[in-house]
Amino acid sequence: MTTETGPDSEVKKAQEETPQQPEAAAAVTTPVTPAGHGHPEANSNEKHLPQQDTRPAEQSLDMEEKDYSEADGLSERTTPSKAQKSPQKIAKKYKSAVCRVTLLDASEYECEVEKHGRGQVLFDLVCEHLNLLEKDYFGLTFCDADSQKNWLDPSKEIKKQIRSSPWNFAFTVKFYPPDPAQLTEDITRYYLCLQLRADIITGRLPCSFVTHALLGSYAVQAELGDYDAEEHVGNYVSELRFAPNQTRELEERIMELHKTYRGMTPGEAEIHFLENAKKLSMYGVDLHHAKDSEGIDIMLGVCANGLLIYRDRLRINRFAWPKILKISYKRSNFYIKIRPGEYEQFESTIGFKLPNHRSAKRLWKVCIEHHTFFRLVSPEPPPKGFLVMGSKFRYSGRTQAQTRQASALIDRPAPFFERSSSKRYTMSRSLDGAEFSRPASVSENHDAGPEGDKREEDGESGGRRSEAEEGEVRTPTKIKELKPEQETTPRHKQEFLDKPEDVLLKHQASINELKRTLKEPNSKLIHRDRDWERERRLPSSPASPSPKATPEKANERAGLREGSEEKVKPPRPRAPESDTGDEDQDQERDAVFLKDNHLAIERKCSSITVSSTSSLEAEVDFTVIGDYHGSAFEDFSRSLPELDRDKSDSDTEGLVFSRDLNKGAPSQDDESGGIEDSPDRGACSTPDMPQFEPVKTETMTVSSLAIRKKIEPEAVLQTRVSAMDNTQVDGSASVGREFITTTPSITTETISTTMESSLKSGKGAAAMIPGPQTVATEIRSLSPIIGKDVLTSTYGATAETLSTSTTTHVTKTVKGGFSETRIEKRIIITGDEDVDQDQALALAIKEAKLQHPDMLVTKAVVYRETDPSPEERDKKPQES
Amino acid sequence: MGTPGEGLGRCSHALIRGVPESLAAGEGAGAGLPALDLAKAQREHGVLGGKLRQRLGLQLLELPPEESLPLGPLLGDTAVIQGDTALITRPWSPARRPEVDGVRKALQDLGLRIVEIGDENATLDGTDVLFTGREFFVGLSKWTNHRGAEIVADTFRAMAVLTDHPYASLTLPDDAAADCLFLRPGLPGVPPFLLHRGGGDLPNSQEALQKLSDVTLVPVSCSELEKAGAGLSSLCLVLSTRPHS
Repeated sequence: MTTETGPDSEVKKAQEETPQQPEAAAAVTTPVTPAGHGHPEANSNEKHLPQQDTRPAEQSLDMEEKDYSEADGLSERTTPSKAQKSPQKIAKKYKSAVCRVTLLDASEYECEVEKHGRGQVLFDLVCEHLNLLEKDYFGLTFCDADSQKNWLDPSKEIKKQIRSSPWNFAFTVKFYPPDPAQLTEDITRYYLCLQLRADIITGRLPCSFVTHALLGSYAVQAELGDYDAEEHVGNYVSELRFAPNQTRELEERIMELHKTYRGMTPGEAEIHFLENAKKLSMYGVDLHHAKDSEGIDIMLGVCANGLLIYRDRLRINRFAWPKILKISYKRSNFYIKIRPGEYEQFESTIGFKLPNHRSAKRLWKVCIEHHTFFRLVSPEPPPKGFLVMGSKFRYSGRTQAQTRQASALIDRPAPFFERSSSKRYTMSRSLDGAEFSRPASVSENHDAGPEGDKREEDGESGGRRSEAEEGEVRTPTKIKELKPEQETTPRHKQEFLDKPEDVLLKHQASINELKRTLKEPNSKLIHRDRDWERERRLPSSPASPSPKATPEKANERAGLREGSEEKVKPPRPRAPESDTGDEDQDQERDAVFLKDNHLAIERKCSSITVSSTSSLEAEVDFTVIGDYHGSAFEDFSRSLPELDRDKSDSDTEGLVFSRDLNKGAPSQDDESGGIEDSPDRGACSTPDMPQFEPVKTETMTVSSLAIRKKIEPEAVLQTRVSAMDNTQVDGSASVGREFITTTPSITTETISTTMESSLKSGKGAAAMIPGPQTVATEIRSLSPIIGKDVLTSTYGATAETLSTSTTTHVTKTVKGGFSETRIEKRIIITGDEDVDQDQALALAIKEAKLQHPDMLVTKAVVYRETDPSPEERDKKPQES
Repeated sequence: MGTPGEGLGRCSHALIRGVPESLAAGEGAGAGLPALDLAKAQREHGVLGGKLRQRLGLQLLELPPEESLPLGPLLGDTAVIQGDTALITRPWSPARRPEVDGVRKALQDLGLRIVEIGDENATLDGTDVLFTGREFFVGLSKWTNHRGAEIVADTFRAMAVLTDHPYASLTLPDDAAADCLFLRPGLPGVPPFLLHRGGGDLPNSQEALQKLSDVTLVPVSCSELEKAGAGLSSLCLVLSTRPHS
């Protein structure tokens, strides 16, 4: 495994140089330094524990060889991934790079991967080395030049991600399972335990004395086995690390407890360990430094359940995923849009300030990934094509639901593994804690702080650059992926070598079944009842939401494939969806809805050149989940002419990404800066505002949320969150019942929207959904641009010279017992004169009719503007 | 530790403190609160004590009123009790700080572990703390500052577990109606009680409260004491001398 070939040592030289640079040295401490060089810590480490360091490597080498021989017997096995082949054998052909991966037991694993290999290749190698099948909970991290921790994206080239940094990585838990007992294999739990022990020792996972003792005692039982009076003499646990500040008292308590566990197997001890650790309030919380709207230092924590907000050591707020409608970032600001509460009228957007652009993006990505992993049944496809607002990043791995299904099929005998954690946690290593800062130790990583501020400029341009690179990498692939989806199976083998599902099983049958289940993103992933964690969390949904949602998704996709001729596929209006009143379904549907849009865009884009995509991405570095933000949309329509220009440039000059970028980026800034002050915008905002009769709200909530918009180029939404979360007295916490509160009946007067010719105005929409015992919800987004009412859904698609976008405004009115739904769609068609706009409009209207078969088109108003060239049409379907 | 939420409301004793005459004239009037009918307030207080003792079967300890401590009856502000631990608070108003002494003594005598706030910068009001059986909520207010909240976290760290809970919520039309006491006196098989403000006080909230099954509703009135800023949770301290049984 560690045989060094030519390229290997070359890389090594390069790495030896890197730590000389101050930043890199700070970032990468012990584990990344090549053995025997430089670092005193690494040296002492090796002196102390020579055998332990080598043993596991040998052992796993054995296992790997065994694996290969088995694998060779299975034809399926060898096909899917070249990663499984021993890298050395093919290394001659490709240029390869040596990767050093610090494992959870602090040992180092070295392997070679092809220089242009994707993250998945390395990750698979590591997992294979670790004999780990349930690998979706884990990930690889690396430190960038700013010594910030980054997740290695499996779907992208390693080299493009780490750039000039050394090829050093850390294997860590990425998604902490909320219920570790549901993991299938002991070995998975073992690695999770190692991670948690590291989290505890570094102080990332704070515990009380009692908990330290309890967890420590289980760790001892798992590692040393039963207490043996002869073997375990004196303070036999003092060599192990259990707490950041370990006391004699703690060790004594641990030994006392250890004596009582006689007969407990290591696997059982680890289950006990995890059952206690999972209850800790900081379990699996990924912390990010930020400031609130008042400039007060806070921490944002991302976890399985949602987003947590800490000030000092106290959690001051919590937003569960179902409560969050949208996550976005713009420059160094991070926004969450919150679903209105039971008695609240409006959505609210809360903004946070991150140290720099990159940290905002990093946080956003972590949120997207956690949300997808824990909340969705299957991942959303990344947005593709021309008109993608903001980053195209999406979580591409398996979700928890999928990985649970997959692991249910694991039928190998429990693998043997040695619990060799002690060397990581022994006292003999220095106690200063630095030793635990692995290349990308999570806790320290978001600590850019004021330093990060200074670097902000660099960071930002760096971020742009990276996107350019990403764009470059992705573009060719994407075109291929746009091919029809049915032909996937063979294609996947070639193109998705890195997909996590392929290496899973040894049994041919299982492999095939697994593939059938997981290859298709929309395959019927039946949401099983054993997914109780989810059920339990969501008592409000009587039925499991996913079985409903999944077929729907499939339908929509199918529908999309069929309706390939339409130019526009307007989004489904929001109000009917919300009628279900089920938060969860809403959420699911939001996802579906988003997917819908993206797919539509994707389809559109298959016919166009993708060359200026990256410039676009850099321009509008702002992405949303759920529905699109008005501002992003506006930025879009604004930049379209420019885009065309860029495109024609690149058509003639080939792919000149960096230049396009440089041009694009500042211009967007100018745009958005100008938008606020635009006088016609200000003028039109008033008449356009739907008005609501005040809805009576009476809650016991002590929390208050005041949002004030600041008209500034940055359009920062100033938010003030009161310190209290929610103090609703709630007798049911223990009783476990649900309550439906009768609400005073609510009526809303909707003032129909005045249409004005300025088409770039933000668009408002409001949905009132009164129903039997349903609480009315009013949705109002505070667009950073105008602060006007809601963009229920905005949709854009572009062909070569034509862009169409639809804004939907849904109003539901209740008048004396019957309700009226009014949907207003604003369709903006932007294009050159030679495009047949009338035809485009006709198609758009047709599409809208298809969308709402039960609605009547009552009015279509067309505004045509030449030169700046957008054309606006408006029609108002009304329910009869 | 045990299953969170299971022992919520477990109690054997209740502690109250008599209404001094100074309550009518003292701080309440100064703070711009409406004038208070002392006799009525004392009657309400007596009824509350009676319900705690007879309806709920708690051991009732009554501290004598002290004229120097007009707000003494609001002893819920002076301590946060959970399990076998009592955190003695540091009231925001210096005038109220002596109130903690009598309460501390009584709790000590009942065998609770007493935790004091040593930090001069911390202020904490016991009624700003809500324990749901699984986690603590601390309301930051004029009376409770961030430091005070941190001390609550430190004191009950071993108890605050799990990050997310599926609370169901019941919304009541009146804010004051939410100030209820969920009590589970040690008697086996007896459903838990919910001590709440009755229809005489807050008629609008009664219908919503009736939706709660599985609890025995015990309405009490404290509309007069409310004028001095009192609520059900501030008028008594409940505790269990056998928190783990």
